[in-house]
Amino acid sequence: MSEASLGEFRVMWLSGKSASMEPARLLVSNGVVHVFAHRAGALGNAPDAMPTPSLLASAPVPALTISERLGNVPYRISFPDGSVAVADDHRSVENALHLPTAQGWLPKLEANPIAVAVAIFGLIAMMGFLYTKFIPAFAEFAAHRVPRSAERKLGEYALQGMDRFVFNTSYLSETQREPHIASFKKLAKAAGLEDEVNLQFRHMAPNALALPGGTVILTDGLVQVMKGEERLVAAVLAHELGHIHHRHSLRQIIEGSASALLVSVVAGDVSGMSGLVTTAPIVLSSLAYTRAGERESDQYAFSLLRKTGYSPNDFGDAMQRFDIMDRCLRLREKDRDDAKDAGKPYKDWPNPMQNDESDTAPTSTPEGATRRNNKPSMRGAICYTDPDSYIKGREAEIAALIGDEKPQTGYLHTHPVTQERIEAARAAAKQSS
Amino acid sequence: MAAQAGREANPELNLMTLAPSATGNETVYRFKFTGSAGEYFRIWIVNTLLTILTLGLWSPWAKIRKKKWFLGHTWVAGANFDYHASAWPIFRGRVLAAIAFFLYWIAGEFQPKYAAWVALALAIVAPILIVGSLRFNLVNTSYRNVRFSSQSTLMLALAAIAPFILGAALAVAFPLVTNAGPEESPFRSVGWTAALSPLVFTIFYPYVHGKVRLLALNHSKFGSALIRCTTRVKTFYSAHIRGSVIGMGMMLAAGVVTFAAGMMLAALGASMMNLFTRYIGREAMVVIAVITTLPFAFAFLIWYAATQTRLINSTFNLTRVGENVRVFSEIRTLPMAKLYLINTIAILFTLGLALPWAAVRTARQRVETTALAITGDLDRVVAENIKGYDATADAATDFFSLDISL
Repeated sequence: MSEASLGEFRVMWLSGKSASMEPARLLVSNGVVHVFAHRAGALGNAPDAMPTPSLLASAPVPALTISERLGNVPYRISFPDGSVAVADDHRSVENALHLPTAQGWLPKLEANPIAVAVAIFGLIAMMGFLYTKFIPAFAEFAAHRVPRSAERKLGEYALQGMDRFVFNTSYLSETQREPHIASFKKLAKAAGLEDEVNLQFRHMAPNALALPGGTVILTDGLVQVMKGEERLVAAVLAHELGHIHHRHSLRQIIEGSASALLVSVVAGDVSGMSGLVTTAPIVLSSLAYTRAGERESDQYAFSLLRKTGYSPNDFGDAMQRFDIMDRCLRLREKDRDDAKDAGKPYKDWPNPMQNDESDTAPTSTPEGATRRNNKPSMRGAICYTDPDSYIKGREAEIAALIGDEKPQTGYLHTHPVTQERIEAARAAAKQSS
Repeated sequence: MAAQAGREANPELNLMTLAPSATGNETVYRFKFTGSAGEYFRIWIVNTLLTILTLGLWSPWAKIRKKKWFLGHTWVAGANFDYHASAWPIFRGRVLAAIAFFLYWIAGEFQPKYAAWVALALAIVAPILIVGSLRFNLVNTSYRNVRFSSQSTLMLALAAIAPFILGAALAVAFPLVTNAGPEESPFRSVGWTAALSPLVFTIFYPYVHGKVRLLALNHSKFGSALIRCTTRVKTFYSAHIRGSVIGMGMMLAAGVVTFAAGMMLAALGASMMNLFTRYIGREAMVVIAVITTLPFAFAFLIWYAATQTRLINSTFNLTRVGENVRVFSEIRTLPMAKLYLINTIAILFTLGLALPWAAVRTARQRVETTALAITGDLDRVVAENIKGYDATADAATDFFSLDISL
């Protein structure tokens, strides 16, 4: 130690009293550090070219604070009087002051190629784990610990907004509603949710929604597509109860916030890129979480249907109805395009979402307060009321439209493809029989 | 000398990119960034992984290490910068900020009716956060072993943010949602009063942007030297309007390009179009949709870069440090837009692993388009006693994404 204790390297000396700087040489001898001014021209001149060197600072080595190695950023050697010597020759500093090549565990990790390689794989694996396992599990854990009453306001608010801007009052009569109300009650009881949920009817295209807080919305369109068949509607309601049982709306809020937080941890301090970089992972992951939720609700529906005397096959049949409706809509789009090509006037184009002139006008009037000017635009749309007869005998055309490739669930889908859901239902039915 | 007279006589000249030119006894020093992407990648990956493994607890240490690295590689006139914040105060600040942010999140997500009230509360707190964060960051930054400091006051910050407080108050006063009776929908029909709040936000955005930026540039000190920026708020209006005009022009051009492509397809015959939609399939249509939005994305990038570069140049070119230092800035729109475009593509295609590379490129462009012209030397700048500031406000600005960066 003692024989190797002489070390010398050039530094930039900063007094800490003013913004002046002084090229200097730092000498280590016998455990004491001296900084001498180095005024003779440019840095790197031989020390003997110096005029009488003046001492700028000196201190014993233990009194110094030496900055931790940080990439190639120069070392900063701080003296007790507040002055700093900046040294960019890392090797000399480490030799002269007997520092390990990178002192501290953090610089060691950063300098070690193996550690960096492990970190790359570790980060990728960790992000994969967080997105696919941890965030959904955490969201589920947290969601079940939030009382339903906290969600209720959110659901009420959403319903009020949709009533104002989207829904119309349902056209279904009491007798048309009754069987669905009865089956909903039966399902809710079997699910142990009878105090949490309620069913409401609205007029809109075929759909069913589970709102936060336990309200299930059934649309006229859906009842039409299912031809009012009680067991098919019940299968869809069982699926919606699955969303409520698993607290999916709350989980989606938590999952969305968690993935946004994760993106900001990794990319938050980087500017100089498009917002696309931060939104893409959030959107893609939330779509994946939504699809997982749909599959979970499907599975829930299968077991609930079995428990209540229905069968998973009912769910498969309901999905089948959706599939037929989809085919009908595709065909009608084609018919519209053909009419366009044939140069027919706009009023003669078959609109996939609207009823034809020949279709019957609504027979019943909506009850209760209507919140919007009711335009029964979707009522009687042929693909909702009678898709079977519309597509009858035109299978070849549909096959040409859809192609013979089996549809696959993709990254941009909100739901698994219908075909996949039907197969899952048939498999579940086979299992239980 | 003529250029000098022009610059001082005609403030409009300072809006442009200004090549640094020495006059009298001045010497020009260009800023230089010496860090490399490979070097930063190691620091970034290790600290990011540690942050994630510790569920965010490591983030104050990671933040300091990254900041120290960027400032340590920023050189001008023979010396580099340094960052001095210590981790535990930031840690404490972040814990407090996280609790506040959690309450804010709960209120915003679960009580949507009160979202406007929450926004108003944030606007009222914003001046405290902005001043606190400025003080903290400047005091912890040094150049040549002399610290910066901030003289901004709460009143100045309040004056800067006031229009946003007004905007948020208008949103509370004229809500889209009311407390209607059970039979009545609480959603109002949208009337003209609903436009008041967005209108105030839009009209005053350049004012707030300018005032907040000037809060940093015009009320700071480097040791004993006052930093002064004489850019007027008016300039922020002209820069934002100019940017919007350029951006809308580009959007229009993008629209024309897309429309022309559509017309060319249409010229091939309407049936051709149908063939297209029918047989290519829906997935391919998504790809086509993405391609047609690219011209718009590029137009938006130009819009952003045109505004940003003009604002950076027009503020830095009118900034002086003490008596003898003038700042020059010559960042240009197209290089900035190009950099952002390439960064975005690289990050997307490497699933984020290019993030540190992008950060280094961005820093290099920002740093190396700046220069100082110094008369004599900086010996006259004397270090002053500075007191430390609490890190909570700075941590809060990180959480609430208040951007006050220079």
